[in-house]
Amino acid sequence: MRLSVVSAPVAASASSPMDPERLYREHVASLYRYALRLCGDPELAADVVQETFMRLVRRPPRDLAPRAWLFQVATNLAREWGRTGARRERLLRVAPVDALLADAPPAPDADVLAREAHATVHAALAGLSERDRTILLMREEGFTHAEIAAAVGTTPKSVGTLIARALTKLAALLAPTREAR
Amino acid sequence: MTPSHIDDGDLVRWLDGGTMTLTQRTAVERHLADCAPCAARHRTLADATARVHAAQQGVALPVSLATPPWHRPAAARRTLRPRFAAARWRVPNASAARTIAAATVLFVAGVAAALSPVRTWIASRATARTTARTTARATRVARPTGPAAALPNATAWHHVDLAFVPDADRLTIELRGASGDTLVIHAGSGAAVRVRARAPGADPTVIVLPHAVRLGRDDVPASAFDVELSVRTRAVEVSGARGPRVRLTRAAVSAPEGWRVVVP
Repeated sequence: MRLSVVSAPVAASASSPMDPERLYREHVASLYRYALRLCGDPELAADVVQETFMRLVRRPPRDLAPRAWLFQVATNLAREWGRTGARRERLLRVAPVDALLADAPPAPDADVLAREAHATVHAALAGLSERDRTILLMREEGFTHAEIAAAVGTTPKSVGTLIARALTKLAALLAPTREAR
Repeated sequence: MTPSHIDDGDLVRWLDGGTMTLTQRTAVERHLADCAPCAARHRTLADATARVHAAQQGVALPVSLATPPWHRPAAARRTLRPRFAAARWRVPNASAARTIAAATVLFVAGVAAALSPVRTWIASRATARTTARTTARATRVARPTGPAAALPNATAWHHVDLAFVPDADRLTIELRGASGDTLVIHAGSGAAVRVRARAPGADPTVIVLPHAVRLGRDDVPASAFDVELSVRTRAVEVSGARGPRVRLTRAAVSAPEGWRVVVP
């Protein structure tokens, strides 16, 4: 027996909702964005995404919709692997802008300013609690309030309030930067 | 929504759409047109939302994820580095606390050994223990058939020691590289497992996952393990890509204080 984690998916056909090829194409970018913001380390985020999809191949979900399942697994992996909070916080704060954002050619001033603004938002996100960050990032990736509620263990009705609180905290963290400009 | 102001949750639901009826949405819009405080809160929430959205759009997919992992050749596959060791896995001598504890034990043992009655007792126990251990090891060490004779001299091998407590009953240890061997350890939850991974010429790559350890490199033709299992371990499967499958159970290899498997 060769227990190889990397094996070609054969269980699902191309038209199946569990087709790993299609799910990878559709969700890898979104999942990476999410994982990156969640754990703050580009390499760790890539590992989280890779392992998430390998788990999809090895043991596809039965009860959950595949997209929700992928994000749930990625959330758990990011949480588990980045459990050392201090380390994660440090990474989130000191990660260079170039490591977090898209590679770009030498940019005009407007692009430079935009990248700095994005980095500021990333730093502010890093200052939120893990739950607030998860809520905002899942919302940004288009999850419904019901799906977010299931992920963080609350009721759909309270998700709106939780999002509002998280956004208010984020705005407060961003405010000093804005005033400084 | 309160009679005087809009609830924060309703503001977000209005921003997100989809969860409000047309009547509710119209009511929120009318209120925002007349209420400056609510309009200000709405601007704050909308602005923060927009900034998160803009920041997230700047994230590009790394090259390593351009293709699914199952399509990548083995040599180009990403590997997870043992950087998670600090979170779940304990590498011997990795923490200052362990060093301090070890130093304390050594100090106390040294003081105790200086006392004549203690020294006499240790000498008598050491003699008895050496005899017992030699006997036990002969039954505990299992050497599956394989090209063990072809392995380089042990002095040319590098090793990494790992000690960990898996949080599940099943822990997988993969031997990567040409051997393709796999150890599957059915360890009781909370049981300690110690592994010494060996590779010729360089430190073996150790990839630590929540329920698995991958050892070895794709470009190294051979590697080896010394695995020490706790008394709670129920069975070990030794599997090879080319060799026969071996399953060792406690009934087959019994030892009162744990047992050890060497896989060349």
